[in-house]
Amino acid sequence: MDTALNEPTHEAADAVGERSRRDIEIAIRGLDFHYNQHHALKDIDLDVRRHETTAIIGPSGCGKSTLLRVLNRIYALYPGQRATGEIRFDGKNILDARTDVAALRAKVGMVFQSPTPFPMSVYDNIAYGIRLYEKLSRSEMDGRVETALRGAALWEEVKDKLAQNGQGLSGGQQQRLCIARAIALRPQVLLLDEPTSALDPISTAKIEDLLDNLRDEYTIVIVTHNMQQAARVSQKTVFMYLGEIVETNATDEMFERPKERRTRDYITGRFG
Amino acid sequence: MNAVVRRRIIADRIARGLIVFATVLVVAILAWILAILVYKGFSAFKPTLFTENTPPPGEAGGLANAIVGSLLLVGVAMLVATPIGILAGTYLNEYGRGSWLSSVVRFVNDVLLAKPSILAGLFIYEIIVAPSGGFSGWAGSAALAIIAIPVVVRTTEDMLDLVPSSMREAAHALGASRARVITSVSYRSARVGITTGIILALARIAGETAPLLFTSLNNQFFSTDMSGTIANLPVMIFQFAMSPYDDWQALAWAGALIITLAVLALSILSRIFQRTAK
Repeated sequence: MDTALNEPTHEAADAVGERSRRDIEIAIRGLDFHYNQHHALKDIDLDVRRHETTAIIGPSGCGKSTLLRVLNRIYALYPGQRATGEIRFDGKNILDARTDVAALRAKVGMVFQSPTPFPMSVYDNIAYGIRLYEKLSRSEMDGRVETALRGAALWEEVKDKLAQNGQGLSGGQQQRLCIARAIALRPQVLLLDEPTSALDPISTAKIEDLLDNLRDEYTIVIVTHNMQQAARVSQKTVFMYLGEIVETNATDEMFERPKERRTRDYITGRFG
Repeated sequence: MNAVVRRRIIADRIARGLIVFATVLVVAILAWILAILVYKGFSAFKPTLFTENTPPPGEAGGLANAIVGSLLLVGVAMLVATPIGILAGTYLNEYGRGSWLSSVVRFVNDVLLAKPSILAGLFIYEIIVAPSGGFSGWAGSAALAIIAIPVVVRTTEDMLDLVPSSMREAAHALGASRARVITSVSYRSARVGITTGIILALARIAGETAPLLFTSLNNQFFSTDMSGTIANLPVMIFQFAMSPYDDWQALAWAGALIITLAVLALSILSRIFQRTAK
């Protein structure tokens, strides 16, 4: 009788724990990062929630881009850069030496500060990543390219110039092309490193609208210099300073009632 | 107008005057050379240049053997130099960044780039011609390749260096391997520059005389046998221009004009190539 009463409670508690664990896409624990001797990230703990946009803000050199670059292990291209600690994603620690980085990068897409279309057609820019993993028929590939371009709100603008060089598009279109290229791999996570800092206000607005829609399907982590942008696009904001996380909070909380003095000073423009 | 402003205006006029003078001087010398070349070369220009071989003194003839020989020597040299040069340049920029080996290779390459071309001839004479017991087309091509390789290495490295690293990172971020990034993104971005480098290397070796004097030498007859001596335009020009015979001297001028036009055509080709790629 006792057990019968207790069990459902137990299960309920487990279910809650299970659900919150399932809500966490990336769990970072005790992450340290070194550029040669420079200690760029210090003991970072952070949970990135699924289908949420997490914004990372902070002054130049605070380590926000570095943190982003750890999440797809792109830093590993450069000798002398080293990360230690644990980043749990898909049930594995991605910092593990045995991690298949190609498979990781297929699941964790990245978009850079300045648009980086490859010197090939719009179509091939999108197909490039897909071809690394899958052998598709022409019609299947056509479908994937169209879906990706639609997902990045670019299809209507480029559907008649798929054969044109991707580098001939406008800056804002190029950046959406890069987003399309990333989502063409159907990743779980999108990392955006100041994706609008090289764009004009209209293009920026388009990308911000797009990010709002992408959140339904992807977990987004965005680094930005622009605090209004963080406030507009994110649900959770992380404020970093000198390689440490000073404060993590729901975005509206963070901008209305920052807990830390340094956060308040930064978002009110006293330094940074 | 105060004194300072006046002094600046005078200094500006003097500087401008010197710049214009230097430009006119350079262009005038070049125009003079080309004018003589065209005047002397065209008077000896006739269709039989391309059909008949170099004649004995006093007889009519053409340059067919020398033209074909030059094409062969230069062609084989570039077939060797292009892949080696591109691979070495790729190593320097894509793999060896910051390593001591790449610093050494880069330094040696710069030395090779600046060395007198006669050294390439002497070197090949020592290691190929003397041991094999004779002058040959292969030796000539080897000497030309030695001159072309550092040019291709340098331009390949420089052109790959212009590819933004964010573009490489973007390809890596999709999960592409390093080899794939280099072949599908870096080479593609730099292809115009690398091709221009190859064309310039070709233009550079097309007119080289010194290295061929010790290697392929010359041949009065038509030959495509790379294991023997082989006729070529630069050495033919050298011999015929030094000769006392008027018709040989005329042929030398015609040969010089052909080389110049060929190099000019290559330069124009590389320009067109650059423009259409944009």
